Amino acid sequence: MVGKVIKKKYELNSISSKTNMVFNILFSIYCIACLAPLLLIFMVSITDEVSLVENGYSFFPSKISFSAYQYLFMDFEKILRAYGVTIGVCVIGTVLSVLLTMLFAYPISRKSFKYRNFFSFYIFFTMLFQGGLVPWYILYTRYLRLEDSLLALILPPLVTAFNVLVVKTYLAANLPEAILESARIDGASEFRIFFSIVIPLSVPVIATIGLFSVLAYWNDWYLCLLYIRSPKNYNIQYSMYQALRSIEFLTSSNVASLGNTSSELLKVPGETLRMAMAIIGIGPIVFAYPFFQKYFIKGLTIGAVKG
Amino acid sequence: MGQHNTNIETDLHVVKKTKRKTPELFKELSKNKELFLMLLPPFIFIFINNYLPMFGIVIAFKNYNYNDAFLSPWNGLKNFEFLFKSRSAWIITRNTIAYNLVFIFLGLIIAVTIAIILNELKNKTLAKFYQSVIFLPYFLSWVVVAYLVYSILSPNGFYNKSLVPILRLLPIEWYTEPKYWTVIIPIVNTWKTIGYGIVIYLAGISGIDQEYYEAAVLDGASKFQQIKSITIPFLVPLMIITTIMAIGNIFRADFGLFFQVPMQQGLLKPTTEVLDTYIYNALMFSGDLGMSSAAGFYQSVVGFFLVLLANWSIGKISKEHKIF
Amino acid sequence: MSKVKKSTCIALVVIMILGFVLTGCNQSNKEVVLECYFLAPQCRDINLVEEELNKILKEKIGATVKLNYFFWDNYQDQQRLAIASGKQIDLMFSPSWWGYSNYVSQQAFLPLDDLLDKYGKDIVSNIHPAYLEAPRIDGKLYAIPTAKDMTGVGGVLINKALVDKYNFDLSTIRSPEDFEPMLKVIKENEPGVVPFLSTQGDHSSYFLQDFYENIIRAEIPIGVKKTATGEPKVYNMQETPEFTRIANLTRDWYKKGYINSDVATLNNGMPIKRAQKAFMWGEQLKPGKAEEMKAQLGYEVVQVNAYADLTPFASTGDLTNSMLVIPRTSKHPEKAMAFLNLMFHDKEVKNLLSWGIEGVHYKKIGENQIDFADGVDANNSGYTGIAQWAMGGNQFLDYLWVSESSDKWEKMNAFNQSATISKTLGWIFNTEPVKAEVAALATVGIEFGRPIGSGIVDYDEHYPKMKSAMEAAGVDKVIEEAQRQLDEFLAQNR
Repeated sequence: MVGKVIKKKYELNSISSKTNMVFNILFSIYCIACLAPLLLIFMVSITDEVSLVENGYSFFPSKISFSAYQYLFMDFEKILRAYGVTIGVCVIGTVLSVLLTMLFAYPISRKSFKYRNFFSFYIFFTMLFQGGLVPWYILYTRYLRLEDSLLALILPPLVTAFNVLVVKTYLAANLPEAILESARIDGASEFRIFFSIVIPLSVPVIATIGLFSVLAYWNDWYLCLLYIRSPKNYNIQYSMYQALRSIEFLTSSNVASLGNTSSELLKVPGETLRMAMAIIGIGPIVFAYPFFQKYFIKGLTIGAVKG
Repeated sequence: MGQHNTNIETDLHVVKKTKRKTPELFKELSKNKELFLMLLPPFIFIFINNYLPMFGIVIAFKNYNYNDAFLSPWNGLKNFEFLFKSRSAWIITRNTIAYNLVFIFLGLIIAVTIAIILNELKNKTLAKFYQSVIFLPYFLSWVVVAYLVYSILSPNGFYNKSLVPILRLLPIEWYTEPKYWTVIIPIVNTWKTIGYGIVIYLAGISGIDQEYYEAAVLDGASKFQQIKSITIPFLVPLMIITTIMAIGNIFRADFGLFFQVPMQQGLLKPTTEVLDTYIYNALMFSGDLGMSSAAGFYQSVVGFFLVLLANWSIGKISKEHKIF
Repeated sequence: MSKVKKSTCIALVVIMILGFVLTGCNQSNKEVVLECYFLAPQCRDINLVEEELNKILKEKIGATVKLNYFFWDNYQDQQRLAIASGKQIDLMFSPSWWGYSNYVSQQAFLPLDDLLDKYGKDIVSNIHPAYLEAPRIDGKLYAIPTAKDMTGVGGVLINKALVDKYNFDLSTIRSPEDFEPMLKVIKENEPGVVPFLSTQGDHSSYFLQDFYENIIRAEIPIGVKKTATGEPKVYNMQETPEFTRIANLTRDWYKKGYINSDVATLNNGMPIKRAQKAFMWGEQLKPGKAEEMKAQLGYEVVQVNAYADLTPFASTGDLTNSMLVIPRTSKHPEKAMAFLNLMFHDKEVKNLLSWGIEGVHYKKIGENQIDFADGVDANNSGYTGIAQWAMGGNQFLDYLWVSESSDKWEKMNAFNQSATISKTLGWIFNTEPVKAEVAALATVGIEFGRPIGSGIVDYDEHYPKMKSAMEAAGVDKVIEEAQRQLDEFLAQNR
């Protein structure tokens, strides 16, 4: 009876339908603002080049043409290779990153580990102070000789202080010392405990930092800009950046593969080609997004509530 | 002779001290050798990736040449000269800090507001949908965002060619007018990153015990009063943590945002050049490792003291929230 | 189970450490490979050309090359990063207008005098001695220029088909203002074609080069007046009447829509030119330039001087605008010099770099004349778009394209002879004493200079801002130092 009253009152007390309506409208507008730019570049990518030059960017192209895509597909190898680099780096990098982060975070999350404060500060200090771009660049190229190597794309984001601290906080709160202690009494080694107890119990936080890693590797263009020289090692984001800077990146070998000189084909799409490249670069992340989002929110939620 | 003796004595003292310490470390090492073994790979990695470059900072004080590299002659503070010419240092420092403050403020206010409203919406499915859509830009890279902004603002873009004729606006050359970018940059940044904050605060809200609201309803509190005196106070710790994290990075700008989105247009530099892009450009245009290291040194050191300062002032306000 | 996992972990640790160590020292192969950086497009068949080249080089100099091509859009960045990285580079395109003097002051390049004596006999015998004087800094030679046209005049290239279509009369053109009626016609009648294509305002420098010689780098508007008489003076070019005239004209064209709207960001106009989407653009001209460009573009263009009444000047900048250097990181400087030496007397080597492989990319149609190989054209060739003048060596060894007149080299010689010799020839500005100011000026140049030169902003409105920024950056000190060095040079060479 009381519960019913409360519920009724609570409902009465929730925002009015009118306010609700206003908010819905506001959110709809905001959502359009989030999606419209993506739609715009898609529409531009299927606009006829000449009509684009005349009429500018519009959601409603006066003449539709898929020539930009036809053009891109003629030299699909380049895009495929860039995707290969991105995916390879992303997978290897994420696995290594999670493993190293866990290896560092687990010992420093143990209260029984005497030097945990020293090691915590060791990683925390990297957040406070950095050597800067030039010394880092010199180290990677002159001393580690990683120029033009895919390792230069994998290594830098491998262990970040932020990820270590997230995992450390999670482990400290969610990993009862008692379980570990009883495993130790059973004679299990620390490595065994790590792999058969710690890791399975940390799946949510692993998902979170794993997704952080995936996102960092997937969206990276900066490391590619600094360290990669040969086009065969370009990743997809850097390829998009190149296409935005210079259309030649997309046209140089394309024209060649046409093998036809009819004047029609000489009309290389320019702006539309760039936008088609952007669409192809964005594609996977939009499709993987629903899956991504679910785990991301789950992980973040855990992080936020526990951390 | 006497001095010599004292030296030996101090040396002995040191030896003694370490001797006393060593067994302890060894004991700890043998007791926890597996834990140390685990720490070793990431420890070495962090040392190489993060600590070694710190020594490289000496380049900032050298007249770097490729022949002598790290052994190049010392140069005093000469490398810092170009940084303080033509007001560069002032402009990039101002831009970096001002934008970060704006981002922190907007991020806080907008994310908390949206999170609270989303939570109050009647149709939960719709609320979920909104949240998903708002989160989407967070997953896009800055390269993609640069494309999107360009498609709207370029001379041939959506604004100038589609909006201007319909709404009878004035055509604007966005990429040549620095003044607009003080607004464009925060909008773009908020647009891209706000979804992350919303998720965090929604999680915070969902962690609040419903009983508080029920009690408030019994007391006749209005929705607004509930938000004011229950939801927001509960979110405050989360807000403080987020803000502190951001303040720690106040002297570091998001390179992608400032490098990609203004498309490196020279004219926009007064309002879009920040420390990180400046250091990169110094390396690219002057090609002088000493001078760009000097800019990097400025960022590292001033940034470091800003964090200390922030931490100290937080300590003054509330001890428990100190970072270290 | 636990043992397996434990050993896996230990293995992992070892691998990590080894990885770091090994990546640091894996250069044990004995073969001599020369890493070469050229300003050239990333053609599909670079590897084929490289292979072919290596067959010859192995035999003649006992080395092979690795060709790294980067073009207008990113050569500068790649060059800087590669030099900063300390990686092995044995031969590198490094013209005076991209910070040659700056690199020299940072000791990035090797001095070449001794190497030239020992391994470069054919260079010395095949190049005008003035070339080997021009790049000297403090008396030392750090670069080998390309033997080619010793001078050039500023002008434009125009799509010939469109000139014919609209019956434009080119003979009446005396100055850049006279291009305007043509641009208007194209704007009105040829949608999709840019009337005047400019990349980051590059045309301004072509329209000014007959008056001033830029002495630092393209972004910094400090130059010497080209003069045969009187005392040469160093100027802030942005304040000269010639500059304001071009800046205002550019602005006017931009506002009228004659210049491409992305002029401020566009860094490589070649694709647009090759797709015949540009009517006219600025270029440094010499006799036969239009014919030479046909091979790159795939269609005919005509060349018109910007100022009909000016005669060409030979100055340091003209002799040093295409040079190859041997960086300090070279592992085999003597082999690099031997390769350079070949580029000065070996027709096969030089033409491989310039035109690709005979029978694959081109065929001979005369003693010295070539055309596309059968079934190949500008659009499907795997080795095309090369700017031959940037490939180093002796350009007089290059085959002539079918469109070029067979007496091109004779004409070029005559043109070289006709040039007035600038009093500053042989002087190069050593920026070391004012490098902080130069670095600050470069950022000012990028912030204001490029937009003004591109016409996207008004000169009268923006120059005052630029001026105060330049003054703060120390422009007066730089001009003073340049003038001092120049006077010293003139006194020594009187």
